[in-house]
Amino acid sequence: MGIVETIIGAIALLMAIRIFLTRSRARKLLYLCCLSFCISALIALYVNSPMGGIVAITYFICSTLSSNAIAYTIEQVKDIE
Amino acid sequence: MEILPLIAGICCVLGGIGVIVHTNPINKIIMFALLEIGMIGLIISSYYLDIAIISSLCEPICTIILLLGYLKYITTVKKKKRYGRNLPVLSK
Repeated sequence: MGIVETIIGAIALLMAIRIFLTRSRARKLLYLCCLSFCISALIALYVNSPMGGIVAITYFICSTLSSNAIAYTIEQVKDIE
Repeated sequence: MEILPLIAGICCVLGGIGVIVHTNPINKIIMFALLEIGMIGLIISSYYLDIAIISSLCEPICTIILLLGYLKYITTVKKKKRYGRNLPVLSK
């Protein structure tokens, strides 16, 4: 267990708790994006092979897409209401 | 002790509790995304990398379908409220 994994794990833990506790929806989304970046870095550090890099790239792109979809929907719901 | 399974397990538990506790539908969808993050981390921690690629490709599709359903629901509710004022003329 290296120092880099420990620091990224601490950031991910902090973000997971803050997602659960924050009331604002937009801030929840911001912390979700940060958490998915942390998990992507942890994946690339955990699997010591080129396949781990491919998984990390795929997960990074797809989680960003998901967060953007939720942000767009929040804006649409504000427009409707 | 490894870091990735620990963080993924904590994400899974927090996401599961959050889906039950939160009341707003968008908050529920955000918590479900947290649950999916934990699930992918747990899959990777047991080295099923191909399954992890497929599930991380399918995760935004699932979220987008849920969000489209929520938008349709909101639009339908608003339309019903708008027509609800005009329709009681028929019932009089």
